[in-house]
Amino acid sequence: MIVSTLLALAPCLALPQQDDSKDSWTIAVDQLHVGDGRVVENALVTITDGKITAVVPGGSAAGALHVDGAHLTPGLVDAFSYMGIDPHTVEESRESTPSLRVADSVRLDAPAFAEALQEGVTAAFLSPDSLNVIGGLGAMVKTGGGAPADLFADANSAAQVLDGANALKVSLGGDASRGNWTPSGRFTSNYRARRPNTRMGTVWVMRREFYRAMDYVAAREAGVPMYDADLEVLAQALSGEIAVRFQARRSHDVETALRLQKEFSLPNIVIEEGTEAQAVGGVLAAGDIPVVTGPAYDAAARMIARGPQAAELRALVAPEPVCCEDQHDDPEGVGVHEDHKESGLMPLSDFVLDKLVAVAPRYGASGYFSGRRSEGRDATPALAALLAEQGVSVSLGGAEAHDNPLTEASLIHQARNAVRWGMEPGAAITAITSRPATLCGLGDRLGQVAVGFDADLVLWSGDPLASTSRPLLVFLDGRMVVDHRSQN
Amino acid sequence: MLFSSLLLSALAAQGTTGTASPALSQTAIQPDAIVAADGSLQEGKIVILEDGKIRSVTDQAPSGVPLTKVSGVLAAGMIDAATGRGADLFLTEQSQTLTPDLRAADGLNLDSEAWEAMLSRGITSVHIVPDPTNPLAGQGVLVSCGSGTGVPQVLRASTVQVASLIQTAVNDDRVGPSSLSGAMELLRKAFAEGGAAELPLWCFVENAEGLRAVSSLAGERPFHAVLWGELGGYAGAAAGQLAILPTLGEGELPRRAATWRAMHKAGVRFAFSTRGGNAEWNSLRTSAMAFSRFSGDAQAAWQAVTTNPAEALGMKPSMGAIAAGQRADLVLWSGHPLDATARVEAVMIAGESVYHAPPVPKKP
Repeated sequence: MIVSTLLALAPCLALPQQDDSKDSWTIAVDQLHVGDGRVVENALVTITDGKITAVVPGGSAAGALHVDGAHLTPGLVDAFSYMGIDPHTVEESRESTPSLRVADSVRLDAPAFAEALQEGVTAAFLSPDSLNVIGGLGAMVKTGGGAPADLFADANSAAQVLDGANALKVSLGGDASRGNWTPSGRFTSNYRARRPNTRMGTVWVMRREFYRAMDYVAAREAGVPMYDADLEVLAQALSGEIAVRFQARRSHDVETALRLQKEFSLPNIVIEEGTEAQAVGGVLAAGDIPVVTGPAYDAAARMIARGPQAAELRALVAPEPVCCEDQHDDPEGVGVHEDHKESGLMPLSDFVLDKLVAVAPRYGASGYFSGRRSEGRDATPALAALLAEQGVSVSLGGAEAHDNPLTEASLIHQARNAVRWGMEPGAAITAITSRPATLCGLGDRLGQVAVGFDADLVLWSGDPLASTSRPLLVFLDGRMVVDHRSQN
Repeated sequence: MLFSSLLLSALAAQGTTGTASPALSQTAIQPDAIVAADGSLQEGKIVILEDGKIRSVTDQAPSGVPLTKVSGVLAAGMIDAATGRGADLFLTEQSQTLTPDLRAADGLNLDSEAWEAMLSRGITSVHIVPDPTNPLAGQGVLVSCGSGTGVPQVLRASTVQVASLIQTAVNDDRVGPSSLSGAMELLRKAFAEGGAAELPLWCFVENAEGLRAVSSLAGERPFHAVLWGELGGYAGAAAGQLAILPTLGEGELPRRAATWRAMHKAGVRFAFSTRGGNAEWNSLRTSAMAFSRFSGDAQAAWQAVTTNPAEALGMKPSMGAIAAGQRADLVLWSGHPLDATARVEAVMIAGESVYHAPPVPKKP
C-alpha cells in the first residue's frame, strides 16, 4: 500500500532525470556563459552520450532540467595546477629532465581532484615542479571520470589523463637554483650538490641544453642515426610542436624568457605566473605571448593555512639534533613536533621570509616558500586586469589552490578576484574556460558550451563571478558528478 | 617410504630403457587422489611418467607399465613467484642506478639449507629475483629446488627483467633518482635506447601511479607487477592483471582479508611470492589457505601457488599442474594441500624422488 502510494507520487516528486549514471540530459538555463565571453539569455542545452549536441538560444522543452536563476558555464579549465602531485616527486638528481613526465607520478585518486570538481573545475594542466631548470612534460587531465585505484573508492571517482606530454616546463629565477648545495663546505656525495647555484647559472644550463638539441636536430637532418629521449623533447619544443612554459616571476625573468625565445626562435611559448609581467605587458602583447598567472592568494588566508608557525620557525632556524628514529623518518624534519598544531600565528616580515627561503631548501619543494613572496616585489592583485588591458592573452591558474581547501583560492575565486581588480567579467570567464583549453591544445573539445564539445558543464546558483554563487551541478562527460541542489 | 619404493621401480624401469619397448621407460603412479589444476580432488587417476615428465593422466593403467599405488594426495609442486631464498644474503647492487644485466643466477647459493626446507614444504621451484633497490634491478633466475643428484638445478638463467618503483629505488639519496617520475624517465630512456634486455618485464610497485606508468611503458612485453605496500589504496589499478603478491605477514591477516577479497572481486589474479612477504618457510601454503578462506575461491587460491606463478614466468605449458607434458614435479600430501591437517609425505622432481618426510610417531 505504502509502496504503491510512493510509486504514484514519484513522477511528481522527482526532478527529471535523476539517474546520475546517465550521460544524456536536456538543460534549460536562464543565463548561459558560452566560454568565449558571450552570455546568452534563456538557452536550451542538450547533451547526448557525453557530448553537447545542441545549444538553442531561447529554446525550451518540457521536462528539461531547470533551476530558477541559475547560470551555466563550461567546466572550468585550470591552466596551471599541482593537483595530485606529491611534493616529493620532484626529480632533483639532475637539473635538466626534459623527458620527465608528470603524468607518470600524478596520483589520480588524490582528494584534490574531487575538491576541484566540487568547485567546478573539470580539467587542468598539471605542471612539473619548478625546482629543475628544465622540469619536464606537463599533463592535461580531467578531474573525474577515471577508474580509481583504491579498491574501496566509488567508481569513476579518479582523475583521468587526456594528454601525458602536453607542454615543457622550464624555470627561470630562483627556484631552480635554490637549495642546491655548493661544493665547498658541504657534504657532496649527494644529489643536492648539483648545479646551478645562481640565476645566471639557471639560464646557462637552459641555453646549453637547447644548443645541444639544435646540434641533435642538425645531425639527424644530416642523416646521422641517433636517439636521445631528452633531446627529442627539446627538438619538439624548438619546432613549436609542444609549448615551452617559462616560469618567470620577476619582470627581468620575463624579459629573459623573451630573449631566449628570440635566441632559439621558439615558436610556441607561455609565461607562467608572471608575477611582475604587467611591467612588460606591451612587449608580451606585441609578441602574442600568452600568460598563465599564478594564483592570487588572499594574503591573510594564505598565512593561516600555509604560513610557517612559531615552532616551525624555531626548528628551521635552529634545527633540533637528530636523536630519535621517528624524527629521522620525517622528511620535512618538522612535522613530528606536536606543538606546531597548537602554536599561534607569527607575522613575518619579508626579511624573515627571505632568510627562511635561504635556510630551508627542502621547503622549496613543498610549496611553502615557492618564492612568490621574495620573487615579485611589484606583485599586484590587478595583474590579470593590467595584462588584459594591454592586450595580453591571460589564463588564470589555481596552482596549489586545490590542495589547500582552507583558503578561498579555488579557480573560480581567481576569476572573481581578477574581476574585483578590474578585469572584464567576460574576459575572466574566458580566462578559466576556452583560453586555457586552447592554450593546452584541447580548444576544440574543452572550454565552451558549443555543439561537439565535451559535456563538461557547471550550473551555478547565480552569476558565477558573484561571491554568493556556488556550483549546484557539475557534469563531466555528460554524467552528473556533483549535485549540491539539496543544499539550497 | 612410498616414494622411495616408487623411485626404485622408476630406476629399474629406466635402467632398461635402451632397447626395450617404450612402455618400459614409463612408470605409473596411482595415488588415492590427485589435485587437479582447478584445485579439486580427483580420485582414481593414474599418472604416467616418462623421462621426467608427465606423459598422461588416465583412468586405466596401461598394460606393461609398472604401476605403483601410493596412499595420499598427489599434487603439483608449489612455485614461489619471487624470492630471495636460496641466494646470497645480498642481491643489492648499489654502485649504479640501472643494472639491467645483473643476474640473480650469479648470486645463487646451491649449498643453502633453504632448498631442503622448501622441498619439505612442497615447494619445487622458485624464482629468485635481484633486490628491488634499483629502478632497473636485473634479471631473475628460475631454479628447481632439487634434482636426482641432490643439487638444485637452474631451469632458466634469465627469466624476466626486474624493475622497481618502490621507495628504495625511486628515492636514492646518493645519485638519484629522487622521484617516481625521475625513475620512470630513466626506465623510458633505458627501454627506448635498448638498455634493457628484451625479456618479460616484472616491476615492484607500491602505488597506483607507478603501476599505471610502468604497465603502459611495458607496451607489448609480457608484464607483471609485484605489488607491495598498502594494497587497498591502489590495487584496483591492477584489475584484470596477474599480479605477484607477498605472502601474508605476521599480524596482517585481519587487514588483508578485506583487501584480498576486494582485489579478487576486482579481477586481480594472484601469484604468491615470499619476497617482501613472510619469511616463514610455510607462508606460501598458509597464504593460499587464508586466501581461499577470504575469497571463498579455492581454485584461485590453489592457482596462486601453482599455475599462476608458472603463467607469470611463461612456464605454464611445462609446470604448475598435473597434466600431460608437464614436468613431473610432484608432491605427495597426506591430504588436500590447502587442508590445514595435511602434511608433505614425499617430493619428486623431474620424476626423481628428492625428499621424503621422516616418519610421524603414532600416538599410543
